[in-house]
Amino acid sequence: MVVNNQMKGLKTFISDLRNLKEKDEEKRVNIELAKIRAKFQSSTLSAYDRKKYVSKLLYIYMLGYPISFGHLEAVKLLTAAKYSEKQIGYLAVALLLNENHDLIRLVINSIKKDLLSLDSYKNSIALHAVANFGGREMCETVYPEVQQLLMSAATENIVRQKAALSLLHIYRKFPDIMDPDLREPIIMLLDDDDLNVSLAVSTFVLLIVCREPSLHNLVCKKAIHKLKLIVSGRGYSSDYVYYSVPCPWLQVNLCRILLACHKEVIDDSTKRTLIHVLDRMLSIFDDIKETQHLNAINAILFEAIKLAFAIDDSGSLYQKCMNCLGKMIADKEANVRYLAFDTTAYLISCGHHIPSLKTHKELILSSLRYKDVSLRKKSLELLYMMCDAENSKSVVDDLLMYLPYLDSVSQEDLISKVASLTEIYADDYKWYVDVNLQLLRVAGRSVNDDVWHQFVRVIVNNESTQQYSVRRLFKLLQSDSTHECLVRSGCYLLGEYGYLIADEPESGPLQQFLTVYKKLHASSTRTKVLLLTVLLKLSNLQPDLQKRVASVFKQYSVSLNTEIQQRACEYLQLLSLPSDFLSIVCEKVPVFTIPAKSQPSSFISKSDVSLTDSLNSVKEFDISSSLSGFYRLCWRDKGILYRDSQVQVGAVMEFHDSQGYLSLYFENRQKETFSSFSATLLRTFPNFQVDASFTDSIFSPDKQLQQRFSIDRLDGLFDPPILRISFLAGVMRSVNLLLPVVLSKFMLPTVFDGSTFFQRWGKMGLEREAQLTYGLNGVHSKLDERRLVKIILGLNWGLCPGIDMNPTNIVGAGILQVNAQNIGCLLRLEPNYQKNMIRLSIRSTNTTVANVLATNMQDILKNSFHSEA
Amino acid sequence: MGIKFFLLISRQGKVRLAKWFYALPTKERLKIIRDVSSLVIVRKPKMCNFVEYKGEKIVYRRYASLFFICGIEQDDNELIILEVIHKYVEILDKYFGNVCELDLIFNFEKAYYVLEELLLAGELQESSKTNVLSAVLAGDAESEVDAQQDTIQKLVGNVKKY
Repeated sequence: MVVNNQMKGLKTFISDLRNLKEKDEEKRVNIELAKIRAKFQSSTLSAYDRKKYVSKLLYIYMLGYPISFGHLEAVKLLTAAKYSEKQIGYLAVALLLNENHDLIRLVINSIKKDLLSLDSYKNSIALHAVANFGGREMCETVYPEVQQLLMSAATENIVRQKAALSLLHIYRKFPDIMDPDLREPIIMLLDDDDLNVSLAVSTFVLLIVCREPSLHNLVCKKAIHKLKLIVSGRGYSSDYVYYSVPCPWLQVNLCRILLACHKEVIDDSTKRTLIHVLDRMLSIFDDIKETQHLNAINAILFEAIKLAFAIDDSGSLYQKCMNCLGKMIADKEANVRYLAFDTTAYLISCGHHIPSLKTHKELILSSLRYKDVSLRKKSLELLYMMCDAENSKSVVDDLLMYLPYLDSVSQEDLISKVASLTEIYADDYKWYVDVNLQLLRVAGRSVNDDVWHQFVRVIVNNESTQQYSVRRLFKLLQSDSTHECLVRSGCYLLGEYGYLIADEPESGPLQQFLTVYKKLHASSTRTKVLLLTVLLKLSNLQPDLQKRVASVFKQYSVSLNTEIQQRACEYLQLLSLPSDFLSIVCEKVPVFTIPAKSQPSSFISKSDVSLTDSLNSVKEFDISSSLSGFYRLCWRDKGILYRDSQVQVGAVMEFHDSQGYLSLYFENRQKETFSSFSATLLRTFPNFQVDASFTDSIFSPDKQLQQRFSIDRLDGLFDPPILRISFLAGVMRSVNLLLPVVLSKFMLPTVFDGSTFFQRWGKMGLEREAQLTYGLNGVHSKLDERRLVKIILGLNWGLCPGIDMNPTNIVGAGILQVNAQNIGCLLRLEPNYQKNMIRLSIRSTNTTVANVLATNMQDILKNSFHSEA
Repeated sequence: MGIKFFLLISRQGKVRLAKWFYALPTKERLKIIRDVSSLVIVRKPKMCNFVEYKGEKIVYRRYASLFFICGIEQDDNELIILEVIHKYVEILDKYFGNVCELDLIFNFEKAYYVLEELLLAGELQESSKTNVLSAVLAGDAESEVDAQQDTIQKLVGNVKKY
């Protein structure tokens, strides 16, 4: 199948090299390099030859020889018009030039040209370059073209997916280059019919989700929808089935996306859908045929399990997940077991409780003895994570049992893990000391400095442990074969706390001195200098020893090692100084300030994306296009909220007491179908919920999509919610809609007679009044009494006619129930029909409520009297 | 990010292909290649296909005399990368017709072109085998046209000479 248009010279060269011995190879390569250099310098180099020699350079580079010339020739090939030359050129530039090379500017211009070309091959090859090695300058220069290729409907799908990944590269490395408004359209592309475009986009979305918590809601819906399609066996062609699994790569990515934004799955219907999908995914465990099939299934299963736990770790999925995990932990295949360990450790690190894991403890323990270092490491990690206050002692005992049988790398790993476990779960200092001493004794060779340093620090900081540990250490030091770590930590502590056991018969001052002295000869320089200090400390506490210690120092003061010599000389001098001086120098070490370990921290929680910056997502939104509908619907219960040439949004509302429902109807006004339709709340308030929403993202002309919201009670004041609808109609369109949910909707109209009204009016007083005087918007607006009354009634004021002295004035009253409290509101509106002016006064038991009602009413009245002309 | 590097190493430790998806000086590239191949080559067939290397995960699989090795990030899915490798091998197999190490040595640039169509920015860009294959073949056809033009021009040149 392979097309063989290869250069003959290159082939000969390669086979020549293959026939040579290792040492002759270099000679031959050098001869060839010299030849190529000469060829490049001659003025008559044909394109064919250039191609051939650059290819040779690449082969030489691949063998591991440095290439110091030929970059210009590579760039020349890249800028050539012919595809075959371009191909080699791009390859050579990718391998040989780094992103800061001087020639890269030439390359950038040529790449830009290729991106603008109408030839899709050239587009592709240039996109490869951007995606694989684009530095800042390149990315900045070609960004507009890449974006254009991705978003234009004229682009072939194969080029589109490449453009998506090139843009991903740019966004990944230089997020500031990408236009932030592009993120949403990219998320929309998840819905693309071409599974490859979705796949390419999915990795992009994963990154967006990690960086932009504000977009979680939108992403979440799209991802669930797509996952549902694939899992239920729709929306893909047989081309994308990999060993009878539909596009496992996309499934894995979608699961990971959902894991990153699982906190957005709050409302019941979305959650139900997702649980249903996951349930199906977890059920395909049984009939597995080949390795590839198995791997693809398992890859998805591991992601599905993580997601299922995140969504709901107690419901119906739990048992299924546990079964899967249990089977996988016991699986004979090393890969599956490795990943099962990994996943379980991850789940524990996320705080999930997995009690049934205890039944597998033996199996996990036995994996510690596998030949495979990767598996050993994972099982150790898992055991470490499984440890809790309850089982810590038994786990540590088990681990210690395995310690002598391990190789040195695993030993080191295990020792640091055990040491930190003992520190976290020590409730009994004897246990802590015993375990750590066992580590030092059994596998001292593999103990790294951190471990014994930490041990010493802990003992120094805990007075109650000192005598016990020094006694134990003293005993251990009597053995002839002790590892240096044990010697160092043991003698150090002996120097500090030896006096605590000096009264005991077998560990008197002299024995202590002899113990240290015996170790001195056989030790390394590092240990020796430490032991000299220990001797000094001993002699400070036990003045009887001074003579002996001095003679040791004398002996070492002629050491060839300068460090030892210097110390010995200095210490000797110290001994000859007055004794109170020595005792100052040899003060007890103070308590170390070290942060105590609190919990196993070997795993950084992978799913928790920082949510701290989500607050700045509440920015100003452009809602101008829906305002007129909003004003109208503030005093009406149904009508058109928004309409343009493509889409119409109708609304129906129902409010009584402090409950309410709002249904939105979306209609497509064109003859063609829009895709990727979605509606997300940009701004909302606590009790405002999505009750039911359309599930299909296809927006066809004959269909009406519906979304229903509800409010069950009012806890406080709020801003009207903002909903963003977006869809693909050739290009991406989006409209922000201000939803007509305002405070006056919750008001209960009441009617008072004259005396009651003015009594209350007076009681509330001027200080609780909001008064506004204003004219109407629009030149042709005309204040009209009938309409005014209609609006006021629509705003739920109960009219109290005839009680005001001026009959044109309108007086009304209403009651609001906020947070189970009744708030009375009174209205007095003085219209001036000649001047088209209004004076509005609202008094309420709550001043803020009065203000909100007044400004809201002002906005509505200002904009509601446009004459039809 | 997904795949950070993709290597093809022979059993003797010779590099047959090395693709990097992030910028790194040549010296460090060589060091990683050396370290990773020595980690991988010694592993026995029954062992799992994953190794850790300096905080990164290495996923590899051996096909005949060649090791296919991917370096990925900590939180990537190992099994799915393993199948990316398999996909690459399947496509090479189709493209060369029962591929062997020699094919990849003498046509190393083709191995790169195929990989280029499969992976981009370290991510799988095309999950359909036929699509990858046809993209590579289309590229081949495009250069074939060039080659023919070359030959014609050469002939024309020769004719003119006489």
